[in-house]
Amino acid sequence: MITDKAKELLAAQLLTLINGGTHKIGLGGNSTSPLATDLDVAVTGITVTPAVEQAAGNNLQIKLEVLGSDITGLVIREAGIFDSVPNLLQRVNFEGVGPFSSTERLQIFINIEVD
Amino acid sequence: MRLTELVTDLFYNPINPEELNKDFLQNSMGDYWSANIEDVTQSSGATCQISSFGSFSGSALTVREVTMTLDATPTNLAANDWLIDMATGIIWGKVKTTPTSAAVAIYQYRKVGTDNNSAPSGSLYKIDEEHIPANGSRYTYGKEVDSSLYKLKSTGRKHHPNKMLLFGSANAGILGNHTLFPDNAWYTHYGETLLKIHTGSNDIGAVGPLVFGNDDSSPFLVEEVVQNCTPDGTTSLTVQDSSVINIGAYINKGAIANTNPTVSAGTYVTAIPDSTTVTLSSAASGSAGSVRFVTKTNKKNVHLHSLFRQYDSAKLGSLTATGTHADLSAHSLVVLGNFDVEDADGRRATAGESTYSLTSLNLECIDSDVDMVFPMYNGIKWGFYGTSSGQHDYSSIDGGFSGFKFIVYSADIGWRPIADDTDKSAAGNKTYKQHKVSHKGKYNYLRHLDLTGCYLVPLHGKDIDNNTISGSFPTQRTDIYGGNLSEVIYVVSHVYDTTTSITDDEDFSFITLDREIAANTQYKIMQPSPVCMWPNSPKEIQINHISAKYTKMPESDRMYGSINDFGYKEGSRRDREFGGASYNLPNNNEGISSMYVIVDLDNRGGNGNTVIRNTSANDNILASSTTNAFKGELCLSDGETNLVTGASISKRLGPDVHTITLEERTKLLGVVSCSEIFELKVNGSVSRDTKRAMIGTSIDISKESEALVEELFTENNISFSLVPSSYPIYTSPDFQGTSLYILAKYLLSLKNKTMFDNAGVITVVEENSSTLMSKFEFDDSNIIEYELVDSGFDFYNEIILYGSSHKSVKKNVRSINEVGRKTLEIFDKKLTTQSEVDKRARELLKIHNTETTNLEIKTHIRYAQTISSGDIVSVIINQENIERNLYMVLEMKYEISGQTTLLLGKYSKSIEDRFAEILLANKQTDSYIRRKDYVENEKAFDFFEDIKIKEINLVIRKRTATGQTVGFTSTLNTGTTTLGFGSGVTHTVLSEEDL
Repeated sequence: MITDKAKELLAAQLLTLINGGTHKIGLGGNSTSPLATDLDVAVTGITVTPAVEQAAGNNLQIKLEVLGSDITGLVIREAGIFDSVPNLLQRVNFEGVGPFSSTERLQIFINIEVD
Repeated sequence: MRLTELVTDLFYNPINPEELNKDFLQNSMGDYWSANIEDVTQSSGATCQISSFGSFSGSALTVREVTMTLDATPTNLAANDWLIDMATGIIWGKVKTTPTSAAVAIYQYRKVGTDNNSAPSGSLYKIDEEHIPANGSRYTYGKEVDSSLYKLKSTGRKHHPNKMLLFGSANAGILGNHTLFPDNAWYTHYGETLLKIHTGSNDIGAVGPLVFGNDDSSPFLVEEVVQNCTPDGTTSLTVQDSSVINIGAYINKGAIANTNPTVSAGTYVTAIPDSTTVTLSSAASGSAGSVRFVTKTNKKNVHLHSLFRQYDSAKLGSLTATGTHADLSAHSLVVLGNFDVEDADGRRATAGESTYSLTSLNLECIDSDVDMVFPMYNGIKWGFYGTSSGQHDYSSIDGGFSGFKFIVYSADIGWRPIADDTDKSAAGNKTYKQHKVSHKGKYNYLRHLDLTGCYLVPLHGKDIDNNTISGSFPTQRTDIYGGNLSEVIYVVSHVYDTTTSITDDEDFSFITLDREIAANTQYKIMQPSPVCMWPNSPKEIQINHISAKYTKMPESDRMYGSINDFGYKEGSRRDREFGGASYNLPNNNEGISSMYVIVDLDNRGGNGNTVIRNTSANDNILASSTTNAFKGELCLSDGETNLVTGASISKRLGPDVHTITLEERTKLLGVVSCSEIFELKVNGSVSRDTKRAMIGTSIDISKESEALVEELFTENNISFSLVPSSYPIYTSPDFQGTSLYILAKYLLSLKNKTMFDNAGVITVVEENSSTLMSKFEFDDSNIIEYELVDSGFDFYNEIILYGSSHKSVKKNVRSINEVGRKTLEIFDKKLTTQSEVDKRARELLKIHNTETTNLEIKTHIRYAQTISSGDIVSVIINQENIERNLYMVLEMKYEISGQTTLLLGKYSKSIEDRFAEILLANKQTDSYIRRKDYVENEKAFDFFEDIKIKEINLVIRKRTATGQTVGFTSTLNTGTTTLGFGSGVTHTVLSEEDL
């Protein structure tokens, strides 16, 4: 039996990892290979601002925010969470969103649970 | 450890003086025969030389005859004499007819020489026909000219090596005298007294078990010479030729007086002044006449056995043979028990009666044929002590089982002074002392014994009143408290001297001692006793105390106590112990002495001796003073028998002695360990009949075979059914690399059990269980079709099976002759005994050597609905004359047509196991050859728990600012947020999905 405390500590460790990383969004929408090391088509030269919160002990909520001015005219289909190395820790692909105007912002929320 | 005196039988075989085997008989010495080899001489006295040989005649298959020509006519060669080759000591021919010239007709048996292929040459030697024993005797031939022949009176009869005849007086007028003892069977049988030659001083003696026959073929014993003699009234007697008379020769065998000239009984020759005169021990008178002199022939120097040398050195009558091989002055005789003899009379011999020291071996005539016995005298009197002659008992006679004891006196030549060149360096930076002691004389017993491992115990110490007992004169040898005056000496080595050339008949022993022998000290020879303690041993055991009270009497459970004198009516050893009149006389009834010593393996004594030699070392182990005595419980153990008893250990002064007092005693063997009691707690009860727990011992932990099977099945979560047998079998073979299946089969086979799969449950049954019997039978009625097919199972007619350390080869010779050798080699290291290996090899040969043709039958499905592979079925096909036999279902094929094809293999008991073994063979081999020294935990459990990082959902939204802004709309500096407020923010969810 894995205790709740163990899960909470592991979530905290995950939070530390994610906080140290530079995260990306991209244009590729294919499904994710477990062996993937990067996004399919990462949008480069932009700033992805993360905000990671640990909630309810073993839950993590990751918020990635990108200014619309950075992705004007682009349709975003993937996002990636990296650590400081950077290793790709998580990739999510989704139906394409966009395009965005320069005054808009794209916010991506990912909930993760250590169970 | 208890040291006990070394005691031998009369032939110097060491015996246990506490256990007497009265029924033991040894082969007669008469079975061993040695021949006198002589030169073949010519008239000049020179030895004849072989010149040539003629041609052989006669049949080569039997005996070849030939004429041998010598350089002169032989004077002492007669028909039937044997011809001897001195180079090899073999008989090569026999004289056919007595020669009258230099040409001698002989039978030649064989060639000779060191190469065994040469013609005889050189000097000619023979064995006289008279000296050749009758068939049936054992022939042992001497090689030397001077070798001698002995014949025993009782050739072929066995005798007890300890049996002696003890008698109160050798006086010819008493013992065996029919007048004094009308019922004397000796006199009745022989018509004369027992011993013919005697002297007054030898009042009491003993006769040994050997009786030597005397006849013309016996140069060893007695010769009789009759001469015409003229007396002159003095001890001088004129004879015809004194050269044929020896000093010591008795007249008329000593017992009978001679008339004309008149010579009294017991007279013998004391000197030979010239060629016609002898000097007698008593005066001769009367007129001239014939006198019969009885003498012993001169001794020979060469004998095939040293015992014969001793007998040959013996003197006739009471003449002493000191300084010769017959010297018995370091021997004493001790009685171990008695037996009935004819005319037994007076006091009976009892164990412990012993002499001080004997004089020498003597020979006596016992009948008119001058047969000889050897009586032994102690030079004084047997068992004599005290001054009251009225107490002597001369008339007693009894049979006595007796033995020899020995002493070493350091003042004798060979023992001291200690020369520097006797020092021998030894391990542990020790210096041993080596002595070279002559066998000729007092220490001739060293020739017959090996003293290695014995102890020399000094007769030097204190008596109970603290009087010093001198080591030089053993006035009181029964109770000596050994202290620090002289130490016990260990005999490290006793070897025969092979470096000194023997010029006379003198040879030597090298005796190496672990320390210097003390000056002028008598030593007893003791050796570790096989029994340390008897149930009747004294409660108080004094360490380093020489006493017979520690020795058990033979034929009794009692220890030696007061020992009576055989020849004394009322005296006893006790008279001396308490300062009786004979206190200072040589102690001749000491019994068999013993002495307890401490064995100190851990050098607690501090002087490096394994066996503690003196009192001061005992201080460090037992009690250092009279005030620090130990009292409590001790455990005495010889490894098999344990004795837990209350005990005390104390020390007293004057004499200094340590005493161990035991409340209980029992029989303990060898070296007994003595320890204080302490408790040892073990986990659980000791269920077996365990006798001892040893620190540091190695043990083999094994389980009961069925319990082990149960544990293995349980550990591997296998359902099983096993009813244990009522008896246990413990085993712990090497199971490395063995599959669980084979291991279980092996363990169960130890109890004649096997196992089978019963609907998923491994069921263990007896090998002969009915559940293993076939329940299906196929015959002509339900077989649709059949076919004989070749089996893939290998055929072997020779099995070589290697166990862990045994090998077994089983083969079918008939099959090998028919089809050639087909060998299967199998390694099975779990088989640890020869019987296991043999049994398994037999089984394998039976399996692999049976018919290998398989049977394939077709039957309807309804006959084979419940059959599965591995089942045993019975098949008989009368149509094809295939007899009923058991088969194993190897394979089943179901067909849509409703028919089932069964492939059947000839069933042989345990063939199913063999299949499994073959399948597992490679795995087993790989496993077995792996290293055995991996560091591993015997029990390793791995638990797999999941921690999952789960993506819950994904939300993507767009953030848009709407409306007017109050204040500045410009951004500040490089930021993107405008200053002021008033604009609205709208979040639009673009996508939301569960991941």
